[in-house]
Amino acid sequence: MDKIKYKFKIATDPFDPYREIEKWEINNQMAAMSIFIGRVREIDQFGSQLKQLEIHHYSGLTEKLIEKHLSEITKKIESFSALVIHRVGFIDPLEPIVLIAVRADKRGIANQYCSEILEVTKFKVPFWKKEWTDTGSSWVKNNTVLST
Amino acid sequence: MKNNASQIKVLLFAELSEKYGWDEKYLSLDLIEDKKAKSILKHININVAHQSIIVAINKEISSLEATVKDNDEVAFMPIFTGG
Repeated sequence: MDKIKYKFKIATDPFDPYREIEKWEINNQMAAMSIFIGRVREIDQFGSQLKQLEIHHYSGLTEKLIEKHLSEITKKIESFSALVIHRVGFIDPLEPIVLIAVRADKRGIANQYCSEILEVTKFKVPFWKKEWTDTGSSWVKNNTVLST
Repeated sequence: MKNNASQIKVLLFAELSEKYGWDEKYLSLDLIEDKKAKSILKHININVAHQSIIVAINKEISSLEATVKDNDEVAFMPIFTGG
């Protein structure tokens, strides 16, 4: 049976990233796996306590852009498979927003593409964040830059 | 009104949609002389810096200089902030 090379899902409800990985791993076992789980921060961009994060997206274009990127990786790398889940809608602090799991036969490939796919979801795909606090809401203007 | 051959569908997203109070509109392409995306933006009175707008035509990332055809779906979007 052919291995499923990648799976992308928009989640409108809360999801358990560990359960998702467990299900996905059944048919996608390789020597190395890198995982990124992004959760909602408890503080908004201005330092106030966050009540909820709201995520909007452009249905149709979002899926197309992520799947195009994942498809391009699979053309370059034979031993690669990825699971990407991104939440939309209203999300509570510390709930998962994004899960990226990459399997490959080498750790370098798994790490590299896990990081690359995350940056794609941040900068190249039509998702927008709106932060809600007790005093109102504000759109996130700029994405966080990659730092250590 | 939808499904008219001379019309285009224009979409706004996120902050743009909230600021201008609509997310979907049908326009006659005849009103846009040069048929360019940037002229549609001007026609619908969206006054934002061009560098802060991302354009998609028929769910393909495009540019403000792109030419639009009848029945196209043209989306104007703020900078992406997901992940």
